[in-house]
Order: sequence, then C-alpha cells, then structure tokens
Amino acid sequence: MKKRLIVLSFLIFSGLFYGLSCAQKDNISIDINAEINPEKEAIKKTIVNAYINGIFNKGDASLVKKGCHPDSNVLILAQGNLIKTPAYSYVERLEKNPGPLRAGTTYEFTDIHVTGYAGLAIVEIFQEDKHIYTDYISLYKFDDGWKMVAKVFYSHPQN
Amino acid sequence: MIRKLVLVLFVAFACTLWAADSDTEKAAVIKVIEDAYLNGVNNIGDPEAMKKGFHEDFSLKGIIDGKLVVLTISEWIEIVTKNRAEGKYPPELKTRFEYPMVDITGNTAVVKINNFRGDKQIFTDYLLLLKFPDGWKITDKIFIRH
Repeated sequence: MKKRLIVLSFLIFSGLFYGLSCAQKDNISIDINAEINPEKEAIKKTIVNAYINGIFNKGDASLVKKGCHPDSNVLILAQGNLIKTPAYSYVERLEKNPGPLRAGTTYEFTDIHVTGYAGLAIVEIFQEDKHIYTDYISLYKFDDGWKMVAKVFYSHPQN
Repeated sequence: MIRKLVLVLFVAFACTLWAADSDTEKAAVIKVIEDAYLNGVNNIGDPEAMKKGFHEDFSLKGIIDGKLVVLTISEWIEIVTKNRAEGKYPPELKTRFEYPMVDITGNTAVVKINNFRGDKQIFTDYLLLLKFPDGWKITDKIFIRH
C-alpha cells in the first residue's frame, strides 16, 4: 500500500510539474516578447489605433482605414460556416454612424512575431472585465507602415 | 489525507487530459497543413488534397512591388494542376516544414512555418486556420521570401 502510494504521489507530482513547466514556458515566451523591438511596438500601435480604438473605443473610420489594408478581412466562423467580412465594411459603417462600438474595451498582447515585413499578433480582448475574444491578426508592413490584412478570432463562451 | 490525495489526483488527471487534448488538436492542425500544403502543393502536387485542407474562401496574400496581391485557392489549384501536367512532380528538391509556433484557442489556430527547400529556408509563412464541423481548414496565408 505504502509503495503504491509513493508511486502514485510520484506520478501526481510529475504530472503537476509537467503542467507547471508548460505554464512557465508560456511566461518565458512572453518575457522574450517584452523586450523592446521597434517593429513589434509598431505592430501594437497599428492594432491599438485601428482596431481597439478605431472600432471599439472611439469608433473612428479614419483610424480603421489607416491600420487596415483595403483587402483585409475578418474571417468569422458562424454555425460551422465561414463568413468573410471585409475590414472596410467597418469603415463604411463608421463613416455613416461614427461612435464607439464598445467603449471601455481593454486588451493584452500575448505574443507578437515579426519576420521581415510579415507579422502576426495574438491579442486578448476584454470587455467589462470579461475575456471576450482571442484574436490572431496577420499584418504586412507597407511603405506607409504596418497594416492588418487578416484576422481570425475565438469568441470565449460567456455565462 | 485520502481526500486530499483524491483532489490532487483529480487535478493531475485534469492537467494530463488538458495537455493530451491540446496535443491532439496540434497534431490535427499539422496533419491538415502537411496533407494539403506540404504534400498537396509542394512535394506531391495533389489538387484533391488541396481542396480538402484549404477552405474554398482561402486567400493567399503576398506583397509584390510594395502592393498586396491576393491569390484564391482555385487559382492556386490551377497552378499546381498545370505544374503537374508539365511533369514538375516530384520536385528535385523536397520541401520540408518546421513549426516554430502553433497556437490554438478553441476552434481558431495560427501556425508559423519555416519553409525549407532542401536545407535552405525559402519562406516564412503565417497561416490562420479555423475548425469546421469536418475539421481544421487553412483560411489565410501571408508569407515572406528569404
């Protein structure tokens, strides 16, 4: 019995240790990204201005236009079907009817990758202290700066 | 004591399940990429495999002379079909993918690919994928040539 208990405890602790080491790995990757990299900072700025503020907090078409390529789309998975929405549909909507879509939206960048003029950002979106979306945004750097070209997102289930 | 042990055991079990579950999804995402893209486009040239793993609304976005150029999946399939007809498969140098980043949240995923021809890295790709009722599909790609 005692031996079994020892074996069992060992298994449990190695399981926990594995879980912890996974969590730590995540932290390390965040730390690496926390180093100041001008391209990553520029990507953050594009996303905050054009998406977080342009759509949610301010609702300003000119901000959205500046940070979204005209061919950019949001890929929405709805009831098993793909709905490809041009990012510029938000521009049209906000030009007709400016104003925040959801004021008080906050965000957290969990990861940013840059390879030359191609970039990818993972952003967590919070509204009223609830984790609403995880966004995967791809970007290209053009002559006039980084612009979003595609986005997929996961809508976190809310109770 | 036993109660505590049961609790710890439960937590450890849940952790293991969680890890196993995310490993299964990761394997499923990589399998779709290897079937439809690595083999479908590069090493075998298989339009049917491409149709299976790329969503019909997939777009390949690239930069040419500073401008965004978009290729649809039917245009890409056409290119592969033409190359196949011209006897360009199998290629002299096989393509090999490395995956420095695979991130999955629910039915959404992003994958970074270091794309090698032989032992030389030719491209870096960023793919966006969504999980449909019939499995993961590639919905968007951006890339840079090295």
